[in-house]
Amino acid sequence: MASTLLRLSSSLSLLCWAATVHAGFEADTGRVRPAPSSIAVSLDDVGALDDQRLTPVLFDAHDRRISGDEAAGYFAGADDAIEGAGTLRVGGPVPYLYFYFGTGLRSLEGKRVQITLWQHPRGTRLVGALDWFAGDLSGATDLNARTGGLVLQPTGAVTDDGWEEWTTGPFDYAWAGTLAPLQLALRDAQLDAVRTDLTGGLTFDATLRVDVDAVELAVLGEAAVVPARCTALDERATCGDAGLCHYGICVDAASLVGQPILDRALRGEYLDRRVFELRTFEGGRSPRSRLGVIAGLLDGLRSDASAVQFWPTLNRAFQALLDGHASAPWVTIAAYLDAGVCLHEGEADLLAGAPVTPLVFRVPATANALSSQLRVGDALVLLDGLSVAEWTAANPRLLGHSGDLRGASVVLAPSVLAAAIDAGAVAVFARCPGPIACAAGEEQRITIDLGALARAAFAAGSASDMLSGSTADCDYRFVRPIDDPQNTAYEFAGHIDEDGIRTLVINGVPGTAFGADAWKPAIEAAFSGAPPLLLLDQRTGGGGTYEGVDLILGPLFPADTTIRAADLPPLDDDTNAADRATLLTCGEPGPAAAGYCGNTVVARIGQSGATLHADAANAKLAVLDALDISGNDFLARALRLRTSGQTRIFGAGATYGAYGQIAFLPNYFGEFGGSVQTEDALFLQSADDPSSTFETSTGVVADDGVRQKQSDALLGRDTLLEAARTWLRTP
Amino acid sequence: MRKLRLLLVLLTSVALAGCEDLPPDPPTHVRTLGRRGLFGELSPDNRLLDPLLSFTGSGVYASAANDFLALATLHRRIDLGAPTRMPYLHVAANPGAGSIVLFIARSSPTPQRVELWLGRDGERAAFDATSVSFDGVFRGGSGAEESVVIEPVSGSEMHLDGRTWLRFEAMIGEGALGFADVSVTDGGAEDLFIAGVTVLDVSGNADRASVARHPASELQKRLSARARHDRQNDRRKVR
Repeated sequence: MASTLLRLSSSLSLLCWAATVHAGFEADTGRVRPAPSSIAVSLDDVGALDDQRLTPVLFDAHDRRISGDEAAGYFAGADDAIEGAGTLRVGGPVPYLYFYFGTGLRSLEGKRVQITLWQHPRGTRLVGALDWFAGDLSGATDLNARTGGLVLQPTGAVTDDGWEEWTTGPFDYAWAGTLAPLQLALRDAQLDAVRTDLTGGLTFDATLRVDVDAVELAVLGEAAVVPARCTALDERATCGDAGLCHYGICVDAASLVGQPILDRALRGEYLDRRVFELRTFEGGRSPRSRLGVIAGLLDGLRSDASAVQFWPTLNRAFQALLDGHASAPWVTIAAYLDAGVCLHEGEADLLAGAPVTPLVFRVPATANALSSQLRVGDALVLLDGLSVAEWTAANPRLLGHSGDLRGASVVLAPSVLAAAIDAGAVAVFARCPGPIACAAGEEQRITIDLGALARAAFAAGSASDMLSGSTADCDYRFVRPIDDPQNTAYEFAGHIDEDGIRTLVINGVPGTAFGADAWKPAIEAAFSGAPPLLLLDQRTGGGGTYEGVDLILGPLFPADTTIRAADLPPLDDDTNAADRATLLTCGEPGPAAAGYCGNTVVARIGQSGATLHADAANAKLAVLDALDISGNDFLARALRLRTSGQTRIFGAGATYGAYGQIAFLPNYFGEFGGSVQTEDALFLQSADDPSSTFETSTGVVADDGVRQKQSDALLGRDTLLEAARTWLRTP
Repeated sequence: MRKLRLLLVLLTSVALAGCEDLPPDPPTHVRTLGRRGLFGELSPDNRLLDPLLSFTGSGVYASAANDFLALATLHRRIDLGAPTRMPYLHVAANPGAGSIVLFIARSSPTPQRVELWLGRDGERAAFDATSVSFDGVFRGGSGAEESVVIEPVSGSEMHLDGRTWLRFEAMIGEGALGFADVSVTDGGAEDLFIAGVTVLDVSGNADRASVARHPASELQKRLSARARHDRQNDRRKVR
């Protein structure tokens, strides 16, 4: 009896697979027949473009809409159509195929639906996503109005002659029950290939095509998520297993964070590959020690196909590596709204208990619904009734850090407001009337329902105007030492002399790469004249190149320094001295290229031939850190080895601790992103230094836990700058 | 009998009415439904950084074969035209200059198998002008970049849609330290197609004697250094 039941259940699951994954395929004809109850677009001929429900639209590479007779030429009356009497053949000169959702589908609001289509690659394939945009659709390409997205994925079903079935998977048609999707936007997959200036990459082949057929929108039933009011803290209970809280209202998680890979076998393969990539390509030794735990996290996703869990867990797993260069692949991105308000971690010394919490550093010049309620120096003290630290800890989906966790609160502070708006939190800011501590009853509290603000902005079609994050020009400096319109640009470098102190400001270390032509001359100018007191402000430090790091280190170390950083790829056995010696010798800089050397790089201080080598070797040096990753990590770490002059680092966190090169991981079905660090660094006093201490995951911690004070903010004073200047002037 | 005729007429009418919406007759060959995984028949444990040759990650680089600063023209094809039935590369002929393509892999000093398919249009295509190698730094080697030649496999020739494919393979007793390249250098006058590039761990001891190494060419070294430079300077790293 038991075996009979087992056989029955096996048969049933096979039937279910057949019924849900490629409904409509008829084995006797080898063709697809859409279900009568579904909304089907057959794409037989150009008449399909007139469909008022799900309207196909062709665009050329210049976004020109193709219509009429010109469009008719892309319909092929192919004998091998999988449905109906023809197919739509795109790609090449017409790399975009969009389906717009017409008002005729309004009855689907409140329903759960699924779109499937079949494509036959004839050299290329279509990838793409469903998009929800709020408000004025003229801003449809503005990510600030994007409320959700859902990437198309393969089902695994293919035919022997080359047709493939792709699907959105099940989703609630209307975001929050009211906002219909705008479009299913498909593009020639060739467009996703990365092109590089140096080694070319792929060249777009305009002769390649793909046939599309049997587009079908099936109504599966009632929407899975009830658009109830929620907070990020109660979303599991309020929004159910399929929902998450977005702008204070429950929405389908699939549209917010992406559909999981639905086919169990494909999902397993995908996870296998991602785990293999981490085991094989991750170079950080400390991250490698965590691979077992991370693989365990991902294992849980093999059987759990929920949108609530899949991509957020993958993201958490990559963050758990503590590899600052690592990032998880992703499938959707919603608007990043921070209203142009810049928050950074500070010390609210005017409030009782002087809590460490984000302070308002800047508000936009043009006020909006949120910024008009705030002033510079206001302290964000509560989110949904919790301290910012508690709220952040409770919401790893919204705020996570992949570097040294001692730097997390400093690095993440500017993202807190956007996360709180995304979730629709209620924020409480605290303000004192002047730069002295609030007396009893003086503290003013400003309570803002961020969800209500966002929803109102979207409803009014003015999200871009009222809550635009695109104009937010934040960096980690309360006062920017150099007044220059480009002073927050990555490529910027400049210096200023004030009261005997030379201040060099950088936002990264591009060297001569990335078109930063002015960067190297600016660095050389900053070291000219051997300044005895030097302040290096790298509070926004986005990394760069070994050359860029060396152009700053070279002048700060004696000419005879032998200090070097050695970047070594993952080895099966780091204790194998012969392997290490082989790679380090091969990777030594020199005129004769030894080759790839397993991707080993030995970066010796002064190797870049800086014309001012050692000019500032004896300078007293103050360094300001906040967000510092990769090249700026290297810079901070190497300065710890400086002995020829005094060095002190000011800040309150830690650099990322990402010492290595980055490799971008490929995408397998239309998702985006993904990266790992492929080496780890040894900081060595000389070529003979036997140190085996790899340092990734351990950033450089500032010497002084100095944060911007609220009282200084009200006086327009930069606490870190003042502390550094005071130290430099002290004999 | 009248009843039967009436029934036939009714049935015919229904059938004819339905015929207006019916698709044309199915092709002689009735297509069948099957399944394909993300990697098809390829192993997900391929040590290549970009096993589907998608160019969405940092894994494949190319240049002209006589000048590593000049670009090669590469396209990616997605159809069933390769023996792997998975995406493959199309390297446009570069007369007089040739092309070199590097596929980056993370190797290891363990037994490994390196394999790929090369294709050219025509039934009698030749691969005399093409060389394939696995380049890296090996234990017990010179300490600099060395190349293991990957040889064509006798009898592996396959003809698909007017194109000739040939499999190249090497069993390597000890792979390279750290990262390595599979490189394909082509000086042919015809376009070249590359499919199924794989570097896989194999159990047991591969025959190391069959894979003699020689110093990597200056061009290979320079291109691989250039590729690394390209990767280091990828603008995405700072945002």
